[in-house]
Amino acid sequence: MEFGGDIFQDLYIEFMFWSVIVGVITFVWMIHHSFVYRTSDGDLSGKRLHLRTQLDSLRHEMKRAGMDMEFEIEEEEDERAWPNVDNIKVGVFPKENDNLKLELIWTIIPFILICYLCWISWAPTDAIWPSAYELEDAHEVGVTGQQWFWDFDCKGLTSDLCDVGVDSETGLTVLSLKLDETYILNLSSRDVLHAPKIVQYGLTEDAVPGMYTTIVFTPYETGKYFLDCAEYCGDDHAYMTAIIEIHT
Amino acid sequence: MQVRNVWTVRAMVIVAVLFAALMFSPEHDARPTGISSVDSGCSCHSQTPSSEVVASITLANGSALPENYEPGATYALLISFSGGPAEDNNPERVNTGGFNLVASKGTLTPIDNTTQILAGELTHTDAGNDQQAWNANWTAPTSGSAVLRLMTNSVNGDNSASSDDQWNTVSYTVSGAGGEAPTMKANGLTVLFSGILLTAILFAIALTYVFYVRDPESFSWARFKPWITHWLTSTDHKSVGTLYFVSGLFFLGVGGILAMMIRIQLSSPGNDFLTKDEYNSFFTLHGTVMIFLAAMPLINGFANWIVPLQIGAKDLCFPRLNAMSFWLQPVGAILLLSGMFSGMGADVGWTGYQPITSTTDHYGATFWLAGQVLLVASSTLTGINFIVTIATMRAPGMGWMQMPLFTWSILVSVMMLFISIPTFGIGLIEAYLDRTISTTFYNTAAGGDPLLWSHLFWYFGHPEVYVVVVPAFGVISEVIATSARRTIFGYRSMVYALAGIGFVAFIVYGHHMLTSGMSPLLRFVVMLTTMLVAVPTGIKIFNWLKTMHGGSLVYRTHTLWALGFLVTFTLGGISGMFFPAIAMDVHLHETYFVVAHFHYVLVGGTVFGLFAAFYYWYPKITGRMMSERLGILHFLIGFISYNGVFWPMHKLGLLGMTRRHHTYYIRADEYSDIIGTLPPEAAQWNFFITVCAFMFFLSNLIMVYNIIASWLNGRKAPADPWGGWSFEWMVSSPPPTPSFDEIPTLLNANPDHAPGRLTGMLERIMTPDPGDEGEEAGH
Ligand code: HEM
Ligand SMILES: [Cu+2]
Ligand SMILES: [Cu+2]
Repeated sequence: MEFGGDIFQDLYIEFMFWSVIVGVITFVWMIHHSFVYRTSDGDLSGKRLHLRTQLDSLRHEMKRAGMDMEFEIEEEEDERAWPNVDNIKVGVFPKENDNLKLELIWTIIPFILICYLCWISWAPTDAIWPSAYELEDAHEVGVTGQQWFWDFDCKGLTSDLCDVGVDSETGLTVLSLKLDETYILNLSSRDVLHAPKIVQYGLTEDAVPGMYTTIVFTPYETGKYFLDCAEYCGDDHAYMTAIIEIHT
Repeated sequence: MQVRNVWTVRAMVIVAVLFAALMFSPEHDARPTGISSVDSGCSCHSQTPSSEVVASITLANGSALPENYEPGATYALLISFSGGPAEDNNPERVNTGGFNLVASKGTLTPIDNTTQILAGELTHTDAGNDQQAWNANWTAPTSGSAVLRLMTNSVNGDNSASSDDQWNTVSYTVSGAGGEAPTMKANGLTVLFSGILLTAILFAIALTYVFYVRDPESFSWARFKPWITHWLTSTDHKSVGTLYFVSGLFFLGVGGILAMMIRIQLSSPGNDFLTKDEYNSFFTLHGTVMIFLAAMPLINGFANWIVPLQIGAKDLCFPRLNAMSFWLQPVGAILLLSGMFSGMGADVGWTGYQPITSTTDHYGATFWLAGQVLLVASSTLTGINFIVTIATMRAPGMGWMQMPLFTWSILVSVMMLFISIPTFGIGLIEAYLDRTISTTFYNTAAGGDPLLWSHLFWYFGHPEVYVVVVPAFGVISEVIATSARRTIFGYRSMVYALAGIGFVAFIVYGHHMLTSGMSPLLRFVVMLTTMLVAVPTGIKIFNWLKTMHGGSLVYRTHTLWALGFLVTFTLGGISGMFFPAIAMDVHLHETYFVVAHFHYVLVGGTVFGLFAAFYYWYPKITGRMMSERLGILHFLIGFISYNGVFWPMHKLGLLGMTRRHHTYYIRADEYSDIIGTLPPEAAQWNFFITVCAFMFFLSNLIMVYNIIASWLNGRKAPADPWGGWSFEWMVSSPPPTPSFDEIPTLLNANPDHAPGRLTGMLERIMTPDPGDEGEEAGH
């Protein structure tokens, strides 16, 4: 199984596809324009800049001194220094530059794209929280977070379906579940927010004190899976780990 | 006189009532804590240790622990307690108690089934529940003195958390082989923060010295006094703006140093450069400092400096209020960080989720809350000020639809801020009261609701992230248009897109709570609205690109940063699309994918935008040109190393590296068969990220150097070095005070300048009626 589980993977690939398309369009466009429309003329460094500076400060001082005299760099010379398509001038709101058709295109096409992306994310969302009648044969397991460990409660299930133990190598708590059975993990917390995250299956949900939340978990591959805490809960947040072992 | 008396009496009554309320506020034990770690005592029993329980550690043969250990030797320990309810009220001797033992050095190993290692600490198992003494081994480290800290509880066996259960703690220090005495070790946090303070002071002294050498005259008291008085009391928008820059850059540095510490800690798995306590305060303060004390003040700096110039106003509408907004900031900052000097900084994450914020034993959290209340006040005042200024003080000829885009972006940003930040203030005050007078807003045992905070926070928090990024949009609009020597493409759609972002910002915050047990229908709605943000943002990006079309792009440092912004912000925007798809969010929630995404928009968006703004407006602000060569160097190193820091984080997040963890688990050794821990190359990536992070951090010093050096030695700047059109380029560089001798009039190059219907309506509302003015004059 790839990271995040199958539901995640399907959606991820689809989103990556569209991301790459959008990214390529934007970047090709950007790189093209920034090369094709680059220029080095009108560079105000060096001599010309100096001229302007002196002119400016002269103008300013004369104004302060009450002398009302105006002088300008000659118009066509200015033109050469500034390739000024839109005739931009200080103090003048420049000539508008728009194209309704183009603007509508890049309003509507992204809108359609996001509608499509929403549409394709709908079914996977439902798959993560199935409705009640799909969960008739599900087994309920309690998962309670407390600073800083997980408390698993098999709620009377047979040890074949659900068992709690300790992993000899790591010393972590192990919750053993059976392959292809559906479990409803009933989450709660005794103190602050926690969130069990079954990393490889890509499932996370907050454990909130005073409230029950659920993860619906149908293991479909055997092995030992890492569970950690994905909602900051204090000092030992990083140590709040456990193992979910899936057996046949 | 009479009137004043009444008010005095009223004020006294109010104070008295408040005082009484404080005294009668419910005495409530707001913090039950568990047998969980060294700091917090034993489970569900009373908070303070009891002297009736006697805890002890001896060697298994009964003799006392040695004063000096043999390096690497293994000692058999006997851990026990006596006294308390286990002996007095527990005749059957079942479920008598438990313990928790932490060794600062060396390793603890269980030797039978009555004890176990949990999260690095030795504790009893179910089987060991009926005992009062346990055996275990401790293997001594090779050097240094070790502290063994034991907590035990003595319970009455009724299997419930009854309040007469008691606990106690004891600790032993065993010195190393050399027999060195246990040394007092300074707290790392205190050292670091004192270091930052010291660096700042040294830096200030060095800077002062440079100025002194250049002009010793200016250091006489007679000349110093007006100077310092000016900076402390000025209400001029330009001076206040400069103050914002200074404090913003300083805290950008502080946040950066915190980030470096975080990165050193994460450079290898299981690193112990920082303790977990320190790590937790560091990321909390990194986030808070970066957003509230670095990004927002820097934005305010530009808003203060540039907005009045752009709209042709002599100052902000309420200059004194503006100065007050600024001075609330340093006070808030000191409060917010003061917990750090005690080594007990806030450790709650910048989001301050409840109930941990109300219950954490790091008292820095109280200061953190108090400091942020002041920042909220500051932002609210700033919000009012800018909205009123922009609405009423535009120069003649400048309708809403002729405002420069930077001003528009500030308007949208402060609007969002002004509408959203009060809820955050309310949440903060509630949490503050919870911590100080034991109110129970967030005490779940007393019926408080932790999700209330999430709502209050994110109703503000989501608009907040746009508050910091939207001004960067404004900057980029100016920079791209000016550099390409073109009018911005689609001015109107740019404005509508900004307004659209401002609106949508308020209906998407649910996406931060997708995994908090939200109803399915709401989930879908939030998914849709969140993805909608991509539409206005897309419009902006495409408009920027189209602006370059047919232009003549001059590559200046600010142009480079603007193009860099386009790259990183587009990437950040794209990775943002992965979260609203809920089936993906349940995997990505709280992983480094999130960290990568928000740094792509916060650093690649806001901070790059701010860098562009620095290079763009620096000549205007200081009257000097900045060194382009250093600027380009800054861009190249900064941009490349920046991507080296945050790009690999996407991959780490996808593999499941969880954020806010001070360590991570590599699939090796005892974890080698546990699926979902990180593959071994993740450790290498983390090291690579750390190296790049240092390069990024150092590259920004180039800019700081550039700012100072160019200010001293730069070429004189003309009034309009880049060829912009808005009013700030009309006045000299630096602008005189007041900025305009007479208010300029904006001309318009467009032939038909009739305002649209909506604008016309707004214009009529916002411009004062000539009739009103007549009345004013009559008073
Ligand atoms: C030198 C550049 C930076 C580096 C290397 C860096 C690194 C990090 C890392 C590694 C984290 C995750 C910590 C964890 O979850 O354990 C983090 C969190 C964060 N960073 Fe940065 N960061 C940098 C700059 C910034 C900037 C400029 C901003 C904002 C403008 C920022 C805002 C945040 C926020 C809000 C958090 C979340 C804090 C929390 O989880 O409470 N960072 N940073
Ligand atoms: Cu946690
Ligand atoms: Cu958000």
